[in-house]
Amino acid sequence: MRVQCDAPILDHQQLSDCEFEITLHAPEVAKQAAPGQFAHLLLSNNYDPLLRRPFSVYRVNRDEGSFSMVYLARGVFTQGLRQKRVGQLVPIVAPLGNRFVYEPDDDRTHVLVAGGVGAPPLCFLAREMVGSGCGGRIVVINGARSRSHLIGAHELSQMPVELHVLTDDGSTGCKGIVTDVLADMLTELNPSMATVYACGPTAMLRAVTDLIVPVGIPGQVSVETPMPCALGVCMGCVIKLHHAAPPGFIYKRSCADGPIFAADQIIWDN
Amino acid sequence: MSTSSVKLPDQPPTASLAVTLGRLKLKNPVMVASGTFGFGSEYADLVDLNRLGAIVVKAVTLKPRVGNPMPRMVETAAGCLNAIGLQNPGLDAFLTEKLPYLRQFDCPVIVNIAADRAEEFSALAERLSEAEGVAALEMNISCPNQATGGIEFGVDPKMTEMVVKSVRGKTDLPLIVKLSPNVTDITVIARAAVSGGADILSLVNTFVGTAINAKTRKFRLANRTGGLSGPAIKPLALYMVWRVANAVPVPIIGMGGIMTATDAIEFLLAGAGAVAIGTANFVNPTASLQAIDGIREYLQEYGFHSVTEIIGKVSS
Repeated sequence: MRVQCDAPILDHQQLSDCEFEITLHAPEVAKQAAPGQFAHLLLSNNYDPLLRRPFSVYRVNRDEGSFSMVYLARGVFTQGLRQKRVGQLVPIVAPLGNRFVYEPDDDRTHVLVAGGVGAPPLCFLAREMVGSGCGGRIVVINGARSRSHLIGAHELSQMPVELHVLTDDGSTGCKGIVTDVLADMLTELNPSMATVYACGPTAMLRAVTDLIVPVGIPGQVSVETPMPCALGVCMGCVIKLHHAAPPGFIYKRSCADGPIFAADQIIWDN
Repeated sequence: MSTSSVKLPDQPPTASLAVTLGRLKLKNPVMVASGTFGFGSEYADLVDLNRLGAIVVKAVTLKPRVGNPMPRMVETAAGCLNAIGLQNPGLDAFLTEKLPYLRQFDCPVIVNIAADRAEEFSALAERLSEAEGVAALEMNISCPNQATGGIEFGVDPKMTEMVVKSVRGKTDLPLIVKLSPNVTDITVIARAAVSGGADILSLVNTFVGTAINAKTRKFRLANRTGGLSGPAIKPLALYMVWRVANAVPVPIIGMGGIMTATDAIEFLLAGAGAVAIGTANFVNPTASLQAIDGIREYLQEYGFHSVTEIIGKVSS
């Protein structure tokens, strides 16, 4: 059940020169939120900016009744958000969207592919997988532009997962991109016993899809689109999917039908 | 965001919010605008639909429409441009999947219909008139008329009168005609719609606009142009409502950038008999309920017994 409320800021931390983690008190959201879901935040009531913005849930603390999100302060909205102090209220609607799903299976390989600010929901997923003892092999490929854009790598390094860290500039981990590692892994993966979970920039999601779909590895891809309403009504956040009936495709709402879609369903337009 | 007001025992009797638009009776003057509230179910866990004056559903076309390519929506200063392309499941799916759900609520359902041919408008009107649970029809005449090479019905008085007349002949339901603001003189189109048989006029639809990305030197919308909505258009919409209300004898549903109860009251003062909340539903899902509460508080504060006492009462 979605909740609309004004959530007080419990904590607001700078993670690197441009990344921040904001923690809100919202017990109903903390109780329900699952990996892949998001909250829709309103910055101000003076119409500047007018619309809300979606942020993936990074962490939940059910005892404290809180959840957090990580954001990159780069636009009007996020620059405004970083000015907010502990105790201030943030209007939210949450939790929204669907979640990553996994089968607890000792023989399964879970490959989590995280790019830049796409990492938070996958960190949440890895934490849940490990915490629930889902079994199987968990591989996390976490990449970003540089060290300061990398999210969750330290925490992931403490978890019982196989972690690959990459940066475009080599400032930490290996120099390279996430799909380099994924491509190297493909031959050792049994398509019926592996699942890929991906979140990151569209170009990365497309590259991941191009690698796994031809070899039949199922993938769950969390897409990134603008989300004007995030309530499923404005139809401004649609993603093109294969569809049997003419004209051969259908537009689905990334807010309400997604943001996670099966990799083999997505049609990536230029 | 929602605050519940505590009722004190010594308060005067609550002012009446009921309004009558021709044959359409509403328990309050606040409806939700087409395209901003889906088919109701999308909001039902956040908004008590029984409290709304009316629900105007997303535009329904005779056949399903896939809609325009992305990007379809872009935020602008205090507003947003959209070019959705009327994506909807079509009339059959509306009748079998959407309307039965809406019938369970104590809230009039107004069906917005869109078509690019007069015959399609007529067919929609005919079939919807046979359906149970439709309180009124709202015609979206801002669609291009294929018979005239794509000129919008609603920018030409003759085409407006013709298409409204064709629908009028097919339905006994209250007929609302939603006017486009993208015209030289909206009162001319308003009169044409009334001549064609409109019972009620709703205005305004979105203003045509565009947005360009200077860095990429591309249009921000795949469709290049879109309809502007949101608080940015409120003064323009308010002006048009005031002009039309003084030009035609039929009731007006005012809309265009209403975000708050105060905005809604301004439209009522300008002459609207009811208002519709649009883009505000995206920003604040309970904006419509807050507008209803706010109008009631305003009436109490200024000693009005009924909302009808303030309609058209703006003065110099």
